[in-house]
Amino acid sequence: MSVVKELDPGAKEALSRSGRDIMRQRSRVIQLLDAAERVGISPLRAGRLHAFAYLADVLSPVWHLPAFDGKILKIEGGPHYPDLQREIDRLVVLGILKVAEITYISRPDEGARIDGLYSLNLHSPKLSPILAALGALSSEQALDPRDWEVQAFFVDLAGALATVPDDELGMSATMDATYADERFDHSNVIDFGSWSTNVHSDNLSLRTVDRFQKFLPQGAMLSGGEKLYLYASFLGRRIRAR
Amino acid sequence: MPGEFSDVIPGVSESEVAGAVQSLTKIPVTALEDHERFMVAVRSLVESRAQSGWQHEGAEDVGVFLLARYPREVGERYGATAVSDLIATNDPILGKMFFLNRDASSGRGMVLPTTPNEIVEWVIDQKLDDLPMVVVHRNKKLLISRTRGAGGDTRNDLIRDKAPVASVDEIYEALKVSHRALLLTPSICPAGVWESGRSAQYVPGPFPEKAIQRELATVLTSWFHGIVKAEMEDSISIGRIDIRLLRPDTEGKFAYWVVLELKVIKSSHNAKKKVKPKAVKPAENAAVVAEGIRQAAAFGKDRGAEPFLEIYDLRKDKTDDILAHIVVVNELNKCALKPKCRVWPLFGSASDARIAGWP
Repeated sequence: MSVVKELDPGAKEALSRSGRDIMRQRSRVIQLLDAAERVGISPLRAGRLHAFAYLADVLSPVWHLPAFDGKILKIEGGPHYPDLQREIDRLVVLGILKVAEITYISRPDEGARIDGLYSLNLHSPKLSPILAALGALSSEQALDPRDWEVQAFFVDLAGALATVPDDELGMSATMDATYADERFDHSNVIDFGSWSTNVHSDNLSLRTVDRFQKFLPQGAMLSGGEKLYLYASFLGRRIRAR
Repeated sequence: MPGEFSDVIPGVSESEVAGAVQSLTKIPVTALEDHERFMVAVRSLVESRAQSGWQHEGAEDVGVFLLARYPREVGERYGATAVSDLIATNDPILGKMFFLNRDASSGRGMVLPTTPNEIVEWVIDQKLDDLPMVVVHRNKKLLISRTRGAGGDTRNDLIRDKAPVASVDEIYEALKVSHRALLLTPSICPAGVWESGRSAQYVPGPFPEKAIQRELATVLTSWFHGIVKAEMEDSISIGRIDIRLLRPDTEGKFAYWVVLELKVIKSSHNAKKKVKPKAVKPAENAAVVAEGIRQAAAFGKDRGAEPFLEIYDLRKDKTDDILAHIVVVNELNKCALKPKCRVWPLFGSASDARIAGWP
């Protein structure tokens, strides 16, 4: 009890369940934008950032990582995570992210959605220690060593998505095999992670990635990174063919 | 499950998947370290421009590429603007300086901030000298790489204005160039081939095959980027393949083309400084080569590929013809598909190389 009393309000909030969820979301945003910075595709429009977050979730088994959400509400225009957007906005207020060219996008039946160009505020003195704690700088500095792996996955995925034409990055998520699955109409939740007993059969994106092996000789192996680049090529071909 | 392909993936056609796999020879080599990956990517970009006759370029001769951890951060210091997918676009690359990601695909670019002769000094003055750097000289057809930054060692590569073809002769050419440029003497050899400070005594490093394998995989990947995929080491029931090359067949599926087994022959085993190294007898070296022939032939048969055995000779006295040893000859005679065997001399000093007739 005495320990909790000594903590400042921010730290106390962080210890609560909702506080932990908030910290997870914020960490995820910072890690995603760090990966985008490294591959030179930052700043990202909100739609592209949410698309990146979704693809990172649905493709996480390629890297043998658990999904962050494991489900997505399928809506017109591509994935959108309200919880993630709330923390993006808060991180802007905290000076850790920068936003430019803020606009509103009208949405049928759902009001409007804020849009902008988001990036890490590389001049923020708070950023470097946060990146270090999240394993973005080195595995030794990470509070959780697994974050180093998560970051490596995000950077390779961002690199793969950088091969998709810039103005079509946001669309890449809607071309994803799971999101585009016509068995699910708009306004339905696609539960690609949590109700699955076998992620290799229920996650269509992962099944597509696995299918690449069919075109290789026996014994040939693809690295996790190569699978992501091939999947980005698959998405790019779908975008061009639409 | 991976490996089970009979089921249909709802909404996904086989042709879409097959089309994506065709890009396998063009995607970045994720097994390489960032600076190696960057060099391969820049070379591919520059040669694609050279092979199209430098279309869309002006009169400029030089272009500079720097690998930046955060391209935007570095670029913004100099007012550089965003660039994306230089391979797919026609944006000029000469007369420019780029701060790019490890795939040389996106980042920031700007007009060269100084004259071509002063580029290296400018980079050092700006404290960017820890960034891996590649300078392109169109007129000299030269690519000068500094993998450890502006102050580090340089490596020169010829810019090929004709695309390479996937042929056995071309592999030989790649091996020849890598031998001369990257392996021949200790000053250019990758770390690990020779024991540090003991190359003049012909003491090999602890794992010379590994060091050479990595260098060759990088060279072959860079040489054949876009047409062949090079993979390193594969453990299968019959052992290991050091490097394997895959290329697409007429049906769009990839098949093994060539497997390369690497062996090192040496005068002594590895030993740290002040420890007397244990000598390696000629029969031991011959046994290593015979084993290499066995492995290469078995791999070739198992994978339906042409087997190559590349022997790197780290011996001080290279007069003994290792391929004439009876165990080697017998092993070759047993093979239905005989591996192509080549011996590449490596010298413990530049003077030894000169004495042996290497300029």
